[in-house]
Amino acid sequence: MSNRPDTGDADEDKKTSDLLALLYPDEGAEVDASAYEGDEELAGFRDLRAMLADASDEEPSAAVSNKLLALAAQHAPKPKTEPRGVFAWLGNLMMPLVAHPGLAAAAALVLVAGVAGTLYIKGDVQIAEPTASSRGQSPEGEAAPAEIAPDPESSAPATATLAEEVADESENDAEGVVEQSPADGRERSRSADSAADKSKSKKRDENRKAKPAVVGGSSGYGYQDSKSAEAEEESEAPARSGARSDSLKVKDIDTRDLNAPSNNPSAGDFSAPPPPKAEPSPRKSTSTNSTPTAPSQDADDDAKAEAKESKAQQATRLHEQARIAAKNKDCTRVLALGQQIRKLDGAYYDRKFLSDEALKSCRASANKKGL
Amino acid sequence: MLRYQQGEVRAFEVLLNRHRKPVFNFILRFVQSRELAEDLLQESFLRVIKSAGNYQRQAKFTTWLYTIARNLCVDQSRRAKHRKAQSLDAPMSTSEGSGSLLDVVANNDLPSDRIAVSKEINEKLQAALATLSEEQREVFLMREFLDMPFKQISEVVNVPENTVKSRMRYALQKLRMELEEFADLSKALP
Repeated sequence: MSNRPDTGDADEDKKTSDLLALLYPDEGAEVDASAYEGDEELAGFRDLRAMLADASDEEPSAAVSNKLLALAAQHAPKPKTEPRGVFAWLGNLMMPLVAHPGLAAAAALVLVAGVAGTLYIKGDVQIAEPTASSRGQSPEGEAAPAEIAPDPESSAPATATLAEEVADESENDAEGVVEQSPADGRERSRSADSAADKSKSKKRDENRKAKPAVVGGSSGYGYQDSKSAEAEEESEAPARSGARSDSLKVKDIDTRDLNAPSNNPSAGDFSAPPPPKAEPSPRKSTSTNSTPTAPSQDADDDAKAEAKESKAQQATRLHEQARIAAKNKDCTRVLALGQQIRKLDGAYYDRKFLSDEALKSCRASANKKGL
Repeated sequence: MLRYQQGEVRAFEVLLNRHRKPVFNFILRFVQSRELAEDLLQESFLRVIKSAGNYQRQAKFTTWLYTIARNLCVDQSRRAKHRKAQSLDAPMSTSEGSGSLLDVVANNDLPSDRIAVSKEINEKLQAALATLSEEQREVFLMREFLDMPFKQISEVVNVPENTVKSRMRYALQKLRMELEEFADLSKALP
């Protein structure tokens, strides 16, 4: 039989595979033996194999084996020494993670989540939420606004504003007034103060109408409010020490409210959000962290600090007023305010007021006049 | 083999003892010369030694080893293509002295009558193998005497499995025709 090229004939290939599968069972192919029962070709192949089973194998000479062993010993590869140490151990540990992209991604995710969770638990990372604590970083005197702050709906300053508007404009909103019953109580106590407070609050309301109401102790806005209110107040009153006393009175009230312990929450409701104090909360926190001191000593320290701070703030406020007056060409007021600043905080007067370029023109005119 | 890669010479000795006889007989039946078969056997294992450092566990060791041996045999066959075919009865140029291939191939463990038949069978087998093409011969030898599956043979000779089976079938048909007269004799033996 000649050597036929591989024709790719499917039937012939199938028969070949079947015959060889029956001839060599170790191939593992499943063939229907009954289909080839009596097949002459298969029988001939089996006879041939039986005959070839008698063919013997030969052993190579020992010299070849010895030579090969010598060559194997001569050319034996050097054992690969694995690096030892912590880094090698760590590398072997991390190699599966690095090699497999899925494991690497999971490990990265676990690492990021772990770091974020740790930071969150430690408190280094804070979620930006308007909380009462963040708003109420104020001294004890501001407890009243802080108490009101968590309740934006009631909005105590706005509530006070609404109540006063109702009182002034005689447009009673029954619900609002009723709702403001606690505020009313506070308002009564508030109204027990001097008339300057009422005018001040009126001015404050007008300012608030122009600007959106700020809930809680937004001291900056309140500062501006009080500042503008005081500016108006000062413009009404003559430039005399009485005005200073009035302003001081107002400020005293504010400070008193602020300095007063939290047992007088009503006092602070209708006052303008007090000016920023010099970090009373951190001081308080440090005081809590440090060795606990007697409560009276803490109160004294707070009062002294607040007194110092209020003077500086008052001086600054007056300085701002002087600038406004200078802008309005009201040098008389500028000079009056300068005198107040000088009496309040001489260092500030020398350092800031005298060197202010905006007030230079008024000071120059005053020097000419011999004031 | 992996242990030998680590420098363990003893592991190579195990490999040598396990595979040297079947590889030698494969080469011997292919090239039909003992001296040449021993040289090629030595060359095959020498290549294994030299390539031990680059060995990777991607395929079976036997596949790799028989691929080396088969390639050496094919190269040798091509070199000897134009040489005159060596007679089985002609004295071999071995250091062991004169003697025919049949004397070397005969298995002394068999009974005497069987030894005689075996010698004759081997003689005829060698002659029959010589009539096969190289492709059919190598496939037949690997399947019949090395018990390699057709799939592994296809990897060694680098042809499709169906092609390997076709070559095997043709080789069996040819050998059957050449050795038909000895089939009855073999059946008669106990």
